Amino acid sequence: METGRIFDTKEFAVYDGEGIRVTYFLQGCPLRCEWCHNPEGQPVEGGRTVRSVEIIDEIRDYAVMWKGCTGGVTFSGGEPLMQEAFLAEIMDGIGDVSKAIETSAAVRGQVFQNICRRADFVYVDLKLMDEEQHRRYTGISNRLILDNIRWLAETDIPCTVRIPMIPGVNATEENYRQTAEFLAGLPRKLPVELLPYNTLTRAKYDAIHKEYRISFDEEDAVCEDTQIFTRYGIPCGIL
Amino acid sequence: MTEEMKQIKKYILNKKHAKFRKNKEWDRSGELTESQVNTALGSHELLLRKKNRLIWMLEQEQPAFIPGMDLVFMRTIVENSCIVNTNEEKALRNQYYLHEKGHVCNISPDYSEVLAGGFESIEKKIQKAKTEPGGSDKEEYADILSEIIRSIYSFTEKYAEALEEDGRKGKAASLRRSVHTGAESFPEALQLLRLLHYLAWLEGEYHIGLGRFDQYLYPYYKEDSEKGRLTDEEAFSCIEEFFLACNIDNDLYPGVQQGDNGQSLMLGGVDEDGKDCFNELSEMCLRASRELKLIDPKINLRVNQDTGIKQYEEATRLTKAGLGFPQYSNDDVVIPALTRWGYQLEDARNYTVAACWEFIIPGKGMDIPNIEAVSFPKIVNRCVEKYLKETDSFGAFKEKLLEELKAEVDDITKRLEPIFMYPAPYLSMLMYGCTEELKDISQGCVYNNYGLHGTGISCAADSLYALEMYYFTEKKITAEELIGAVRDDFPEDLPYLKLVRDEMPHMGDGNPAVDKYGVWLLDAFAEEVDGRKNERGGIYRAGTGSAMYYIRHAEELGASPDGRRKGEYFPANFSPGLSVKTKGPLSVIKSFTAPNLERVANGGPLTLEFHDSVFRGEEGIRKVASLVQMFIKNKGHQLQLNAINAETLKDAQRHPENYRNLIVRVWGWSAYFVELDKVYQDHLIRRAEYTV
Repeated sequence: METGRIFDTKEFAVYDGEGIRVTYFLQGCPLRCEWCHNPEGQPVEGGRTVRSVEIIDEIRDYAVMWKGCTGGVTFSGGEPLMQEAFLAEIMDGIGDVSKAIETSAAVRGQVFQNICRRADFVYVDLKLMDEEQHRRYTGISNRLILDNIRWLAETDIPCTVRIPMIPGVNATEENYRQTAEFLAGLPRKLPVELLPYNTLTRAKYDAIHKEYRISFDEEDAVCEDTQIFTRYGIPCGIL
Repeated sequence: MTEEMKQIKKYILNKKHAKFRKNKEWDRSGELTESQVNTALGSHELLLRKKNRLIWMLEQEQPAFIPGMDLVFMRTIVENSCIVNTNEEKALRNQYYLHEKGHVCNISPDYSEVLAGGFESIEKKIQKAKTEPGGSDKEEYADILSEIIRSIYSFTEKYAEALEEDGRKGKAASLRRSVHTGAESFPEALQLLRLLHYLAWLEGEYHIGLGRFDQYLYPYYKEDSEKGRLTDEEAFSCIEEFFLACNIDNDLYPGVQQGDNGQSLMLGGVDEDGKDCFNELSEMCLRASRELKLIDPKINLRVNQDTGIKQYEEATRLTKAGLGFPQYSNDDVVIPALTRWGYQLEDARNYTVAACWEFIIPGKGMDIPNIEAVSFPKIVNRCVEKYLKETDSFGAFKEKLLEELKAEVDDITKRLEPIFMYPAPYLSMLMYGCTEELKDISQGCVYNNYGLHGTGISCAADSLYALEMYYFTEKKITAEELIGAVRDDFPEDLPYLKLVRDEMPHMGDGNPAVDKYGVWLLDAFAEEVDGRKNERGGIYRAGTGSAMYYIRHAEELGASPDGRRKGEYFPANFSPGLSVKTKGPLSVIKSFTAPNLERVANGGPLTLEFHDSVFRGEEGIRKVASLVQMFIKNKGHQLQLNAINAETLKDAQRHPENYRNLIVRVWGWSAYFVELDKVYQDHLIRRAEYTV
């Protein structure tokens, strides 16, 4: 009987999976991305403690409502895979309810595989290819992330790679090209979604009395050239 | 939209045609003098007056055209005086119950007969009726109908001549022929429909709906299409023109606010055999409305649990346009509800909505589905004030509430008789059996039921939860404090206030512990109203609507036990309280589909407000479509959606000149936001703060 920490639940999420989507935001994240728009979800403490069975029951009640329609649940955060046991128990407890994961993939391979195998869909972020830049802007190395994405490409788990377009940081031709080359070398061509920069992030920080400290210029241009990916045979769209 | 259509739209929205309008004053010399004031006018006198006035209006109206527009007829006479003067109205209201302005209103005629056979088919019916047994007594009424028809012929002849002068000989001939013997093509049918609809307002009736537009016009479209006389593109243009025409005179049509004119139109649903009849015209109407982005006609869509996701997606593309269209009605709840109330099955299957959302039968319904409203928070407050000190259990309090509910409904229904409606001879010709029996529609029709709205349901449900939990059980507030609150207001710093406003669950949170009070209240309402009969042999129907009462009913009260402060309003229709920050649309739908809606199906939608960014991509469209489908599968009865943005609305209040065309869904119709009174604007901004 696992417990975990959740900092938010959204009953009608638009970009978190197919159909009617309830999204749970799990507390805690190993990254500290400068542009994070859920900073309240970063620390391991915070949020509210719940038992897995509470979430399972809640999801089951939701599932009764969307019976006959397309609906499902998405686990996001923070980094949901930081609460592996809690998350796995929930995913096992909700039966064939459609389950999606939104992850940074910055966790041990075993954890990543354990959870992804239970998912119907995986959204995985790939923020920067350059190791040094990745450390600079997110606080950690991208080695684990790349290993996990490699593994994901060896399975047939439906997934999408997401790149948040941060002006002057990763929304550059160079980063896209490196990313495309990496993805092109994998056994399966994983599709890419480019996410427009969230201009409301600063307002969110103001609302929770935190300082939005960034080293990039929000007004800088972003590269939107999806062809950099598509010419490698990698489907690419802008959300 | 073609360039021509754009130009016509611009012309109409800028009200350029207002230059054709003249103010005229109707001769009132035949009216009651001071000394006659205590004698109420009779039906007969008013019948003659209605006829004379309609004929006078038809004589005064002069043809005018909108450049580039094929459809004709527009109002050029502005005569706003009442059919009765102040003294006469006072005398009438002393003796009778008059509903709203006293005219027949809020019904949906059956246009199909005159569309098919023109007014000559009515003339034949009149002649036949005169020879029926008892017909000779009603000869005067028959002559009145005939006189009106001759006036209509003269009126259309004026237009035909003007058309000929304008070089439109073909159109003139078509008009002359079709008004006499019926439409022979889809464009002709739309033109004749325009005339029939226009005439209803001219006679003084209002909130006259367009009914099941996609059904009764379908045979004309189908025949033209099959014979190769009309392409789909042309049919679509005809529909767009008709929709535009609904916006020519609408500022002259009566309503509580600009936009509340009742030009409602129903799409989809099932036929008399229960088979789905969503057709090509239904799809074209959805598309025309979303292209034109006008507040009229008000688009409604009937759906059921088998409606496919593609239809919801097409409808959601219209929702995205932000007009508040379509409003959805669930056949699976409404049709059984109507038959349970005594409607014949094939009539129930033919239902449409009245001006806003009440369920009525086209051609056969002289129901008054908005005759009155029960304010549930008022009853709760009254019980708190009168009985709280002496009731020592929540069960006992509920008993008192049921007693007060009964007293309130008794009180309301007693006031409604004897009812009096001004005769409507022209409109009667479009209602079932009226011509055949030479009986005016104001005397009744096949269905003569009354509808009672139920306002503030969520406020009352939340209040009951608060009373049981925090007064009776946990004793977090005293009787004196509650009584003081409902008489006036809560003191600002009362801990109870924070408890009920911020911590307590509410109806809309999908919490069965609160939802059960919504269930109980609506069951109690149904119990109390079912079986009551009105003087016309009709029944009473309980509903979940509020109409405009969400403002007035709240203004009459102090605070409520749920923490609503004095001066705060109720939500429109069937929705969570205004200051309730709900968990999301799934919880709201759960709460608002928990009650037995089939028992309270007079009409009154759940309103869901979405931030307009939700609709940005195809994914958003698919999701909202899934959500509507889920609402219907969960036996929701009626739903209206707003695509809204609090920031935009606030800016529109500050700079209305930049937002002249911003449209919002109010309580059952859509308006130009900047034309609404401030109290309605503020209410919408409040709603918009808690969008999805």
